[in-house]
Amino acid sequence: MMQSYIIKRLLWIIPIMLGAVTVIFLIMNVLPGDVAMVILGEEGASVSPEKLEVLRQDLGLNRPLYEQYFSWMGGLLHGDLGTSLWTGLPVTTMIAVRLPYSLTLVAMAVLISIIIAIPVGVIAALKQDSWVDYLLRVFAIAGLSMPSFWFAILILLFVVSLFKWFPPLAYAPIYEDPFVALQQLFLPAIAIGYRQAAVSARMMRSSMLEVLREDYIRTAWAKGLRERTVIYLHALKNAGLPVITIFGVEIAVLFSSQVIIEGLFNIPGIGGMLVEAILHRDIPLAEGTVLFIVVFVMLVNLMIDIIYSWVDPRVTYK
Amino acid sequence: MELSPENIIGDLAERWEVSPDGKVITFYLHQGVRWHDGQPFTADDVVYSINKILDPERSVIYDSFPALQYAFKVDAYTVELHLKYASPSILSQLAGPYAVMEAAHYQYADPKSTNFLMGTGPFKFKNYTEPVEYELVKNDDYFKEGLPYLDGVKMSIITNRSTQVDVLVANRVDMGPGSIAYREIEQIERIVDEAPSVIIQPVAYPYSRGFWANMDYAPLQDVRVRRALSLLMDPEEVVMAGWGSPDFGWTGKAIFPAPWNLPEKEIAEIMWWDRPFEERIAEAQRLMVEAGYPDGFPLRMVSRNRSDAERVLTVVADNWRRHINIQPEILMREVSDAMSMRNAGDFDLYWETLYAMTGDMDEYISIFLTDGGSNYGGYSNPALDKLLNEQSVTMDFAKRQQLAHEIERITLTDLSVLPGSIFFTFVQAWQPYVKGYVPGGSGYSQAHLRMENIWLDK
Repeated sequence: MMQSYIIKRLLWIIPIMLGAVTVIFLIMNVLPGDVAMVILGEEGASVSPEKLEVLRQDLGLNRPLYEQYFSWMGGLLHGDLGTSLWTGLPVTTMIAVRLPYSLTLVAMAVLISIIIAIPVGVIAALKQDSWVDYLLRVFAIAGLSMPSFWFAILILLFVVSLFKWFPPLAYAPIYEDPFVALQQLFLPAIAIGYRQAAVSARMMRSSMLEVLREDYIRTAWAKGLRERTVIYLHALKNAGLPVITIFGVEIAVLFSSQVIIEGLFNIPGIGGMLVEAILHRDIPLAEGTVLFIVVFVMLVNLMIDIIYSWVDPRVTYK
Repeated sequence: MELSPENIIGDLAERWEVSPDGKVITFYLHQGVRWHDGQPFTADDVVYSINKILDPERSVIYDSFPALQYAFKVDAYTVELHLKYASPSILSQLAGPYAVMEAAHYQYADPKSTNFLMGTGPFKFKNYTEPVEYELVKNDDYFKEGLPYLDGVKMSIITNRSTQVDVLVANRVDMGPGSIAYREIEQIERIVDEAPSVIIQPVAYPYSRGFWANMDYAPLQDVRVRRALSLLMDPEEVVMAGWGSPDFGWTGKAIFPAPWNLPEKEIAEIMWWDRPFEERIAEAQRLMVEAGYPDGFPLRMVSRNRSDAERVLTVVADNWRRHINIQPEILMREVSDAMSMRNAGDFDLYWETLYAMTGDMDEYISIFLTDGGSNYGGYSNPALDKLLNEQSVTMDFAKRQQLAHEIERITLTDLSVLPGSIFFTFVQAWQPYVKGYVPGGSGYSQAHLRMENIWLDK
């Protein structure tokens, strides 16, 4: 049963993926200007129509839109995401280079948010309406109210101004040099993870409050179980279900948060690459990156659904 | 290389001679120069490079050297450049960033391969870490004996301007960006406050900014209207709005840099900068009434989406709205969009830089020439065309300067471009232990970044 559900979900990725890249393709072609103009006229220099025409011809931009679209789609079927019109490099190579940074950053942000959210949510629920609860709620609401990029600027100003420190500039994937990678990604991961932690902590608190009033918890107390057993074994597992769900929703937000934060910390991730692709009107690169993000977000959501059914055996998929 | 025609320092060319009619320049090349792969640099490379630059099939800058006809090899170390006409600007053009020498023996190499990144300079390409860093190493075969001092150079790609300050303050870099460097007062103040030992120096570049007026838009066809708009563009206000300090490019010049600009006193007289702002307001109002626009008119102002430009446009638009009833609409667009609108004439006023690589008069003529490549507003003045073309073939410096003055008088009167009168000024910054660095460049001319004389005192 579960297998067929997974296959069905995987198959659903295809139309959604096609829809997303089609929308991006259309939007980028509707926008005025093209990559040829940006290449030749960077920084506003003058550019003659003849030169533009030659470059457009070279880049294949003069072909009818449907031809450009189906040519890219044809490549996609063979696993070829095309070549960046701006850099001339294969899109898959460009994504592969940046992917480790972005994925490590997302993973670290998620990890930090879990480390913060669960204890904050649980303690706030257990100490409901006490000063501890109020303090933790202020902490969570601050995280929700503050845009991640603004928090990142504050962190940077604090660290640079006070300690004259900035993460190392020569980036290293975590599997090559974990120490350098941690130095580089820790601060941006906090900036991104705080918001995620705030969302999850609030969810955790309200979910925990609800669970703590359930009959089976009362029964557990009545059985004389230790507090630790009641909270961590009985309550937390059930209260954690909505938090797992929210991670699926927030994973897309994590990617969008990265766009500005990558720039601030000079991280060569795919968020910044997508923005540049759009600014440069680099259609293959934008499509390839969007495609990757769509697939990634959908796979993460599928994974979360599977984890959900594993955590809560009552949940079954058809 | 230095930028004025009188002060060009040879590099690969040891010396050069100009024929009496000015139509042939003979270059004598340095002997013993080697490409980074060890092959000798010879006349074949120069001929190949120049002829490639001039070939529309292989070059997008083929029209950047209008006087240049072809290159001819005399012997292994002597090259003749044949010109269509004697050109006073050709030497500074050749000293500019477009005249790049390529290795003839690499003509069939894949231009996307890093092997293609080969020169004759003090540092050799070693590695590119996509997309964050270039690494260069010392060229042991460099033809200038004893140079360079550094073992290598790493160039980090940092696009965020605030981060460019952070890394300097945190001493993650020895030098800030070399050309398009720190350009807002907030950045400089942060460097001064947080890293007082860092050395900072403003460098003025030879290009100004301004509004191109669209001559298809009826109100702007009237020079009185353009004059009224111009009168309410106060350079001090513009520079303060855009960059936060008068030190950022307010030089008293209007369109052309030295040595081509009119005397600053004369510019001030023409532009009425020497008069109180209230007087300029009254004159602008009088001109608008006289032109038949007492109630103003709608005005679409287009610019590339940059924070400094947005602040400038807001301040200027506010003056026009308050004093002469203009109904401005500010359209800040990202590069591709803005350029598309510019090329299609889809603007009333277009805010842009009057670009120049070397600062020679010839680089500005396409802005004002009828059908010039940078004449976005469709302006035409046959008398000005004649002067612009004449200065391009006038070899006598003093006479050419006089022509430039006459040209600037006309441009400041005709106002096809409303001069923002603010020249690009960037601050270059480096750590105190970096020695031998001479700031310079023109934004695009990066000759000062050869770094051959730099060493680290630490």
